[in-house]
Amino acid sequence: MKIVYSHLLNFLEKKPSLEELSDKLFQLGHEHEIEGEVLDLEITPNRGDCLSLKGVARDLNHFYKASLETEHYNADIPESSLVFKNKAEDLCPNISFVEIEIEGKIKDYATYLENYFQDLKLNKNNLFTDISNYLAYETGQPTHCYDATKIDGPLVLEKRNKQEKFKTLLGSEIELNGENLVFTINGVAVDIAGTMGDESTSCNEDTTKVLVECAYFKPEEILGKARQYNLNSDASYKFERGVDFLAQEQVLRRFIAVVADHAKIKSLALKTEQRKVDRTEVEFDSERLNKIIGTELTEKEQKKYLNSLYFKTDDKVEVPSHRSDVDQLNDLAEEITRMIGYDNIAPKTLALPVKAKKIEANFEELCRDYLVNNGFFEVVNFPFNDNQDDSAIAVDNPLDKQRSKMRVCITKSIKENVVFNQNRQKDSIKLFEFSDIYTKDGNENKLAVIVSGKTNKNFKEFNAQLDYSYLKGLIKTIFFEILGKELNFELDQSQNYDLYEKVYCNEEHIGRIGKLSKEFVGSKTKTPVFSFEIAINNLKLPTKKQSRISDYPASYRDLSFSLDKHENLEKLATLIKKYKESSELMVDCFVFDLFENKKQNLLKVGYRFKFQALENNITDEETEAVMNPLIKESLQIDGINIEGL
Amino acid sequence: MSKPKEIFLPSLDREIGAVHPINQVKFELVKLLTSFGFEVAEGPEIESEEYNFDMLNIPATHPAREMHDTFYVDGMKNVLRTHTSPVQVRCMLEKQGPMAFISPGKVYRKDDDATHLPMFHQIEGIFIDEDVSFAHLKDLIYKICHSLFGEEAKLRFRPSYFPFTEPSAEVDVLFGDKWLEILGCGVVNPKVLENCKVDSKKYSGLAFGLGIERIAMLKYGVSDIRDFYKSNLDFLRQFK
Repeated sequence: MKIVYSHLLNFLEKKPSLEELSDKLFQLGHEHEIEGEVLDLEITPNRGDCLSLKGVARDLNHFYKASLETEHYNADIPESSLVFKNKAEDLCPNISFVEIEIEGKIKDYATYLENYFQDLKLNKNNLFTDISNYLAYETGQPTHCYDATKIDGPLVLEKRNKQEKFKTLLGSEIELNGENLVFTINGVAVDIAGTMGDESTSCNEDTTKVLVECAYFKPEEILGKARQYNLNSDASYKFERGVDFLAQEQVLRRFIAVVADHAKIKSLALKTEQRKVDRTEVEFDSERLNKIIGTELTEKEQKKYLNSLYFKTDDKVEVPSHRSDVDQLNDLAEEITRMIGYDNIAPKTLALPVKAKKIEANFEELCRDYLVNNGFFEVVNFPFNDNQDDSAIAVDNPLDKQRSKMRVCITKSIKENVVFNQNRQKDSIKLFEFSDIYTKDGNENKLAVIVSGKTNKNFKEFNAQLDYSYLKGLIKTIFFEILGKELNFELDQSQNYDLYEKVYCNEEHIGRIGKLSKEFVGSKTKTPVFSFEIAINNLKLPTKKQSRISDYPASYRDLSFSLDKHENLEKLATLIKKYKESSELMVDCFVFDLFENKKQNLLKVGYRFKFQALENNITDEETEAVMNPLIKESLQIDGINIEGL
Repeated sequence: MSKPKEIFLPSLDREIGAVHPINQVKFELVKLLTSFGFEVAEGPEIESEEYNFDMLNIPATHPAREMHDTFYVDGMKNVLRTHTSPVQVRCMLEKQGPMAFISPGKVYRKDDDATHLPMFHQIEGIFIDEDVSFAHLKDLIYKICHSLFGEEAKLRFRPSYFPFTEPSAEVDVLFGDKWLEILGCGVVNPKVLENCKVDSKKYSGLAFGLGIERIAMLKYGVSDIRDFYKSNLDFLRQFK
């Protein structure tokens, strides 16, 4: 809301400098920017009472003594013969109308009215509309002006559900639908209550008889209407935030006074309905107020602050009718604190008596460390896309069609991250993301990892490409080293993969690993992309137990297996695993060499076996007792030979 | 003595990666706040309107509900949480008596421009005990801000409006000659305590919330919030 510094000073007895005023407004919670003499205030939604010159001046009363008296028409006004039927008394308990007829020439605008338009660079319309706009600025209370000669039937306020065309006084055509609180004449809506009137009954420069309506509408009834119909309405902005529910007749008497400053009034008539009259009361509790704020103010000091904001104080605090935001002691505490200044409240040492629980390491944390130490970068993606998956949750009010669904997996997002970086000539891409994924089937905490390009930027690994075995080794290592678990894989097929395996942990299907198809990746570069995505819910870290270690020397055996087909490698690995698990003496085994002779269609695999005993030096007999049956059984696999035997 | 030939070979450098800068800041804040005595609590990102709004004193007709500009899902039945406060609601409903929780996580607002994103991260904290005051809140906020920005950091408390706290404040920190808004905080509104079955006559509370992107931008000198979510390796590489 924009107000002009000099306009505000008219309502303050003390005249602070613009800088001092600005500081005080900040202290009171009215953030603002200053352009020349204009203060552009960002009034918080609970402070509808501050959306006017008088409202801001009231809030500054404690510091600069507000001078709120303005000229009002105080004489008796005859009762209007207007036929008004209020069919929505609960939504509009208080409403007043004044009919004003003027005659003769309209004078030049008085200084206060002229300055309003000039200083805020606003366009004038006609006398009545201009006064209505000015009074909203001065008092915060919107009024609506009908050309009284265009009202040819009883005026009815009603909430109704009727689809109808409505041409606003600004000329735009809208279609009313759903439930709307409207003023109607002969069944036709002429005013969307608290939002905007229509063109057919609006005032123009020729209007000499005006019907001014001034109401208190329940804020929730007005909320969202201007937005629903794409209308820019200062009135609805004010009504939504709450106006003074007892100000209506006073504002109309002020309206008459301003009209009288500009034209000769021929006749006046007034009609007032006032059902909501009780002001809110809050029990005064000085001790509790101090406890909320953390001060030791006297009751007198507390009441002084509250009185300066027009609260009446006794055993109870009577809340002024313009403060719809105050209904409890904490609200009063805030008012007192604002007056003191938040920065002037001395901090009190806070020691939390709550004992912090020890934060246990978890899989996600250890896995994140492992990946980062292996050159991976963590990414975070937005969860929206346009996937067609049946399990995807639809966003009812998406930003756009491309972001109308919640993603059902992370892979699609990080695949796009890879493409983004490939397009920027990145030749070694290793990314991962942890995220909760929400689908109609429930939510899962997931980890996705994606690789593409060169393994590392050093002279030994530059020419090595990130590939399927790298990624499979990575996921197996993570699970074994962090969780002590072996994973199982099952070859399968999937639409977006050239190569695809299901991943199992403890016989539970936890995710997938594969080489993404070129079509799915959609990159200009040919570098293959590999990824895995797994659910990591409920992965518990094992309790670490120390095993005895041996100080006796170890004995090693190396075997070079020759295989004529890749499938045999899995059979061989399974066999060796079986022997390792059954022998206490075989403490380690791993592939130390792998060579593929594509011409001869041969695969050579070098295995190293480590033997060690806990209580003695390991003997050749003990080693051979394990190795000989292993060799014998491995040679029974069709297509496997052992070199040197 | 001649030098061994190995020392002339290039070293076998291996690049390490990096935790995402937003998570780095999040973990730092969690570490800091847990050292004060807060426990970490987490909750779902898809929330009921009841937990996201109603329990927090934000009724359907409240302007603040519009302020949030919420994403609705499940046929308008649920929302993508607009703040992590619903986690605190769950904590209060589960536990009675003194409690101190922080809830870090992703939150959503229907916004997408140069300075606003549809998803961002918050960390919110709540402390409930007998006779907790605004003055205690100030002490906590000073400790947090001094830990984040140094003991010399200058703070400014401004009145603000959050339906779930009363009094409510926003806190600015002075950077050079500019005050920058860092966090929102306040004394927990007794209506919220009552909604969460906490005896508001016996207990009071304080609450605060920080935008993690905001802190990360200040800490790392990032001028465009969107950079955090482009996944550009040149950007991410700077946060090792």
